[in-house]
Amino acid sequence: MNAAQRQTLINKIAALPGQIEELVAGLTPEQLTAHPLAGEWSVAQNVHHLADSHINSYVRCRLVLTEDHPTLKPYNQEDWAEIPDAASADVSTSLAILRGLHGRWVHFWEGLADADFARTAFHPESGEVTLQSLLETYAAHGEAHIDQITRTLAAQR
Amino acid sequence: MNEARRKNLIDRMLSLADRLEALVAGLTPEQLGAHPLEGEWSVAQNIHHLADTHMVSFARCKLMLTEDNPDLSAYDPERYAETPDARSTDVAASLALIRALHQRWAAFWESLDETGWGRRGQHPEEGEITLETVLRLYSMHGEAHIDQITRTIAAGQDVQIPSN
Repeated sequence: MNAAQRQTLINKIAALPGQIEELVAGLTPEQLTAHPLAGEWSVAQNVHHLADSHINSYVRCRLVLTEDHPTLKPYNQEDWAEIPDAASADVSTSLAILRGLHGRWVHFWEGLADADFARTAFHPESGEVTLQSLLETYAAHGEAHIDQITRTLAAQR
Repeated sequence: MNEARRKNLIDRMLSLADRLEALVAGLTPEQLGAHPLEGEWSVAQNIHHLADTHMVSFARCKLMLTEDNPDLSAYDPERYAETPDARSTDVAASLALIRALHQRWAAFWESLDETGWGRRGQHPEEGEITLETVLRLYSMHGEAHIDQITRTIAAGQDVQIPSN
């Protein structure tokens, strides 16, 4: 992947907080916590999950940068989504976490040297990962949840 | 620890962002990035460090609640002060992060029952810790950095006094 392709992915990470804010603007607490799609999370759970997940991701990225082939720790995202603060209708906190965190994360990605993108880690479920593959994973992760939130909102109309 | 004591610690964490913002209001990028105290961090590094370590600690709390006595060593908050994004003098993102994170953390603390407060994890240096220990440690941690920032700003002002 060349520098321009990487920049496209970094830009996606930079854009995510604004995209999520736009999607949830003006929603009522009822709309935020509704489960119109069977077995899927509410809009609020998606937003809190993005904040929780990207906190984990950011920790992982810094671990991969500062250690030699560390083992990353998986976490149970389904259980995390059921903890009361991650199911609350008040998404303003997680939106602000995403804003601040993605601001820091963009600085992180842009501060890396070319060679850093090849740094490796072991993920118990995904096998060997690199900072490059993590960038791809997390850019795609944000988009997957934009899609899920969009479908969840459409199902309520 | 009784409920009133816990509430007091949660309130101190909730007010941390306001107190930090008041301390750094009006500081220039030079002042934020200066190291007037030998061997100590700049004001900006202190603030990024608080955002980073408390984010990691928040994740640790979630692990302790959802897993049985998890190993917390992959979430060592003290490891990360030197990555490039933690040396920037732009502290706005970290201040916003600290504010919002502590609000969610407060909601987390307030949702715990007695069993929840006793949930454990394996800390690389402290050994076995409980969620109540995490609250105590990170409330103190916030206060310690308020103190360090206050001393750093005071030392920077001393330097600027003309010597003649």
